[in-house]
Amino acid sequence: MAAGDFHALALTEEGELYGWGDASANGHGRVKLTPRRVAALIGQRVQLMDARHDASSAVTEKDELFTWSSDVSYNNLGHGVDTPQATSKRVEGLGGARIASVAIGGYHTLAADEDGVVLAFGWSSALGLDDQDAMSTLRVRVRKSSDVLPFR
Amino acid sequence: MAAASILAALRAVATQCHAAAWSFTDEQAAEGRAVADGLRDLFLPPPAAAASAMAQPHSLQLLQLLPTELLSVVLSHLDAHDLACLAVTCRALWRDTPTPPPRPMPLLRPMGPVETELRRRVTARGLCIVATLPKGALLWVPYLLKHALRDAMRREVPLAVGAEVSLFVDAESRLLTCGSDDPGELMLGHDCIDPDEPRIIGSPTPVPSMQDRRIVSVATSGKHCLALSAEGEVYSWGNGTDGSLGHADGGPRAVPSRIESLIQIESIAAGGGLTSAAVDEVGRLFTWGRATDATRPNGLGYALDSEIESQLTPKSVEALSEDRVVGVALGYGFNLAVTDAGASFLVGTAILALSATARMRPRYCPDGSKPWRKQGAGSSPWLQAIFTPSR
Repeated sequence: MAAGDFHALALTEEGELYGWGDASANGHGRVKLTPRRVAALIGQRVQLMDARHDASSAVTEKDELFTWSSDVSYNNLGHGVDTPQATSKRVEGLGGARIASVAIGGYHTLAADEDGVVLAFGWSSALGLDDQDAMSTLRVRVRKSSDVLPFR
Repeated sequence: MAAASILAALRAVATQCHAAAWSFTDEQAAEGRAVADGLRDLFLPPPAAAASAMAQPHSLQLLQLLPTELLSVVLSHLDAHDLACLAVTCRALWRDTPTPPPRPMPLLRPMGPVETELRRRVTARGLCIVATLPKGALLWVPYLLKHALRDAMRREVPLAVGAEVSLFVDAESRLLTCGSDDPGELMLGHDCIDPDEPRIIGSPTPVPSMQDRRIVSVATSGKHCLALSAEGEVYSWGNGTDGSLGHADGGPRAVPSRIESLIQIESIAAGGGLTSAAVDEVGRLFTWGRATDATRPNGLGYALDSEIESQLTPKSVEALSEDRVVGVALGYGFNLAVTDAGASFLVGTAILALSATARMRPRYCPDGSKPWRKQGAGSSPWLQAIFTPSR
């Protein structure tokens, strides 16, 4: 499970992603009072997700990163500085990196690939991201998350 | 002739065993049981299904046909994941029964080879196994599995993003931070000479005071930060107003500071409403932090006295004391928890309560201080499979 300020996501063992709550990032583009499957990701097995503030992200079994929010701030979604995205959209420009963990934020987002290499995009002068449209690779190799439970 | 003399010898040994069984230690009793199991399996007739179909015996049947001692050797070579799969799929090897009301000799109940192997692994990790199952645990196998596989089962979060800081756990399990601190924010966790000076760390840098700690997870609300160590300890830092840091003094912390009351924690969460949560190894949910308004649901899962504005130290959510919480997520004034029964719970204000775009009147839970139970979206078959008694 993950929760933003006013919306929430839940992921089942089968890789089905449910979203509800505020319209900005529940994946439906409109308010949902009860959990509903995120339609754009039906047919794809979701492995991880994260939500924070008014943004959401998901990683599918192909290790592709999807992000969405109707309120984009400083390219925190990775789709460009001024492209709100109410339903999930794949982040292009990751150079084919296979994403193994993700932390989305209101202003910037971090994603680590299989080897623990961290990609960052969005606002943060402190991260050395001069160009808000660009992905940056950070000088850190993160611990591999054992998100995969020892059960199939 | 040989068979007859062996039988006679067996009878003699059995008589001796009957006489001496009371003086066996637990370990000797377990060993004796294993030998007896092996003997019994030796004389089992071949399975009817396999004989009639003349087919290759199923691999599971092959396993069951092995003498127990040999089976133990096989199991000891399995990796944790396969052992867990076996425990879930093969009740025959599990042979556990729901804990009975008082049993005279709990250790003499039938114990399957999977459980035996799990006990060996837990002990090998230097952990003590309690004599009776703790409250809330139904069966030995899932309980042991959780301890045997603790590192593998814990959901680790190596990245966290705040408004202007990023937290990392690197491959050496060190805590790193980078970003910018406005005066007094103290989100970077690095000791600083003047907390009122703005500070920028341009690339991920290890937090000096945490160099000797093995960190596995990080979380941040944007105003405060939490880190979880491999030993299950929780550290907090940041501008601690509103009790989000979990320290009794309610003050800020420039460097990560251990929340002493939390032990054996498995997961942590920090929410936008300046609340924090932790789940311990037996599935208890602890929350602390800001209660936005004492008259309204606060997302903490319990009511606070009207004159108190925040819960300064971790407090367990009593309304979920009968449940075993396995995951938690915090939003702004609400709190989601998943229990091992697969139900999800919503604590505090309903999810749309504070939504500006919802064009709806605020909706609260039936009783804001108590969890609202919602069956469904969080259900997870494997959890049900393993935590449901076999009969």
